[in-house]
Amino acid sequence: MKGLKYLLVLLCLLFLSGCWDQNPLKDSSLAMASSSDLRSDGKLLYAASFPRSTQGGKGGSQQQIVEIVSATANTPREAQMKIDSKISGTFDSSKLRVLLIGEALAKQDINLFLDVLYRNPKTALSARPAVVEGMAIDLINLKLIGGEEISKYLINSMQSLQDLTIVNHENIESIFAKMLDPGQDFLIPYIKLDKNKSRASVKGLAMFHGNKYSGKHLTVDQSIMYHLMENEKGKMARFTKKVISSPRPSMNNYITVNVKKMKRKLKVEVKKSGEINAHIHLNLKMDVIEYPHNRLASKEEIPKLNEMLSKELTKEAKTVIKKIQEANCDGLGIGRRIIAFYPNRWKKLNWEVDYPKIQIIPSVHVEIISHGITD
Amino acid sequence: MVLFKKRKKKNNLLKKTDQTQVEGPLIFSDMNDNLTYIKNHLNHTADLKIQTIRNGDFETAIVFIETLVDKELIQDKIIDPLFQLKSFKDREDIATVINLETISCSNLSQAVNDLINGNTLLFVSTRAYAFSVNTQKFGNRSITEPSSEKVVRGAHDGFIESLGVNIQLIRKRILNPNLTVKYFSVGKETKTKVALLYMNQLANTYLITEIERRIDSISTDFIMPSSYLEELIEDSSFSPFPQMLNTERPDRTMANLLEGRVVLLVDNTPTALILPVTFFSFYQSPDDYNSRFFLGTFFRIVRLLSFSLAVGLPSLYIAIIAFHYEVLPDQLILPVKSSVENIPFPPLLEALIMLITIELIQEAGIRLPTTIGQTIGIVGGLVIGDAVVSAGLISNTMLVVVAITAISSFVVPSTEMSGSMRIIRFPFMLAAATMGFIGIVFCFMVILIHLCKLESFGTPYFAPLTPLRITDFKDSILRLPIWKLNNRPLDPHPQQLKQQSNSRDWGKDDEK
Repeated sequence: MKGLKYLLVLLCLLFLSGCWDQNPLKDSSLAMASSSDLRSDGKLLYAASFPRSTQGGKGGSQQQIVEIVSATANTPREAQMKIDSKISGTFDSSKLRVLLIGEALAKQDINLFLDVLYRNPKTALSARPAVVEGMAIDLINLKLIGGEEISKYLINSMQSLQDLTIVNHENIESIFAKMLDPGQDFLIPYIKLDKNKSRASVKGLAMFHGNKYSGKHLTVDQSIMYHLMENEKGKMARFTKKVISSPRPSMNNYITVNVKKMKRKLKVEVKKSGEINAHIHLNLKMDVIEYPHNRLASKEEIPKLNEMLSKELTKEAKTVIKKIQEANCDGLGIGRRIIAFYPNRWKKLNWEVDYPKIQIIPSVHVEIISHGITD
Repeated sequence: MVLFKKRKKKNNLLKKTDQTQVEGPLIFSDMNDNLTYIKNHLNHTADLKIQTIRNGDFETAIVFIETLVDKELIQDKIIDPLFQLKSFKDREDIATVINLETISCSNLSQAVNDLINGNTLLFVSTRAYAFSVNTQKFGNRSITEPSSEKVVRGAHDGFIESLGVNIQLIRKRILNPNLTVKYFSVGKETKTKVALLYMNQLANTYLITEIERRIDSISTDFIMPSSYLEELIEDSSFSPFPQMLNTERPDRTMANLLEGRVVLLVDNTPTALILPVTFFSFYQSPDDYNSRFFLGTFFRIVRLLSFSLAVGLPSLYIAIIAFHYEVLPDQLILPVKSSVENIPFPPLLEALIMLITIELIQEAGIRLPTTIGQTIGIVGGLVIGDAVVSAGLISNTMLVVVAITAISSFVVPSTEMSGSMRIIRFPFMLAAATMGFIGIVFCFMVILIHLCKLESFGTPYFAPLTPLRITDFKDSILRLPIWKLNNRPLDPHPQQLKQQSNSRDWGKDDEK
């Protein structure tokens, strides 16, 4: 009899196992991208894209359909619940890849609407946040060629831009630490829809101050320079600069260089008077990848170019510094260094106010070390 | 000393057989009384043949069981010489004439017993004793390569159903007086011969006495194949893991003997039982040593990997699909999702259906003749596999998982270990379906604790991992070059640990 009892329990285990707490993949709707916007009445407009595949039968000829569902609510969780009632399966954000934030919403405290993600242990922390010019919902509704899913499109394009040092690898996990850190701010990609609304392109980096978008962004070239100053380089970092001023053809006047090796020195010093100076020195070893003028074989040409490029790039760096200070975005983490090395000075500082006033002096030294297989 | 010991043991054996036959009547001086006694005692069995020869001044009766003897031998070596013998004075006359192993006996029960063993009895009129001539002949299968343990390179002989031949195959490989054989007779009714083989100054003496003690305590009517013996003397019968290595390969047996292990051979079984063994011995194949050591090591690691695949893959899949799909990479999640989307079963049931189907195909295939077996393979593998997916019953990914699992469970060179892997995987799947990854971890913990605790004849089963002995990794998990293996593995506790000194000393000479 005793054996029978055990057998019954085992059988129950076999047929009922996990019935109550399983979370089957087939019953869930995976949101791969989400967009959040602030409506004029202060409510949240939330949308998510769900890639679905229709059963193509044998041979794996499955077709991908993307379903985009939106809802208006007070909070993201409420919006998710509303969306949940509109879709088949349960809303699941554990595979979220892109988090699009509308410009208006980003200017508010973004931690408020990210809270739902940080609370859930299943959240995909590798999801990339991005600020969208105008309304983010326009971007998520974008109809792409071949029915490509928007998250795939954006992630792929961001990855290629990361190789070009334009975009950093900031995700919602890494920005969380920076959000809480008073001595550091973050920048996330700034995406703009094209005029005819068929493509989206990354226009640079949106500068955040604390949890809020400052409303200003760096351009693509400035983003590269910013990353170099932050000591982060992708596979390539290219600049196209005007070095000759002969009238025509204008293409002849430009040089494109790629950073091969780099060294950055960031030195923050607090003077006795309390004045804070930050020196950023960049030593870039460059490879010429385009130079139609083509006189690189001559001995005078390269030092001349080195000097010109150093000057141009220092100018560029200064613009970047000016911009991030204007935006009050401490993307280089200078505050962090003061906390670490000059804690007493930090206590007296009001970083919010003082950061834009400090002196950040960049200097770029360029050295051309190679120029491809032609002269 | 060794020789002496060996001889002594043989004497013991003889004494033993004598002692068992002490009871029973002595041979009568009247030949016909003897013949009647034998006939009655063998229940007038039809294959009992009695042939009387009258020659010169004496009469002889030749008694044998025709199904057990070599009739040509009897004709050539017994009957023909007897005709040439003109007179009979005493026992020596017969012994000189017959050129075969001849014992004279005076006890009828023993005579009957010899008869059953295939001997021929020779009664001489009015003499109260008989000659028992060894004329055994058993039809033996030829020595072929065992089909379950094929190797690419190396010896292609295998054990057969004769104990004598099997011991010969081993002795041929170890020309050493230290190789010791001990006979036991097990089974009250069948009196099956069991041989215990070991290297005398190598194998642990405690181990041998322990095995002898266990074999002596067997009290059963019969032991059929060696697995009977295995179950009667192994430590933990309720463990899913085999604690003795079954092999049909003499070379494998020899290598294990020289590691200080002990071999049990059962008559009429082509399988040698090797003990004590560790978990990792089941993942070794003679092929490892026959190929270069890179390959040997690589294949060993692949085989060990196959263990975790065969045991863990279905449960891992269930846990992922049912609980933790967020661990799947972004690019993988959509294909997997679309394949499981329209499957009507929960993942556990889906996996069970497929795994049981595979077990069915396998069971059906084993017992069928090869010609029909192929049909089973095609129907089972191709038709079911394809149809089940297009019918939307089982997902594509599940099929891939099941196929990889099935293949990995056949990688193990030992069939028993592969069997236990097939069994262990089910509790894993159940646990995965109940608790996800945590369930799998629990199951692995239980299995690991069990493996660490398990003993095979007093040696730790999971050696050299627990107790950890990194030097023994050289020839258990890895297979280093032969000249690196100076010491035997410690797990059977051999009397001498060293098995070679520097074999590549010539390298030093060259440098000079």
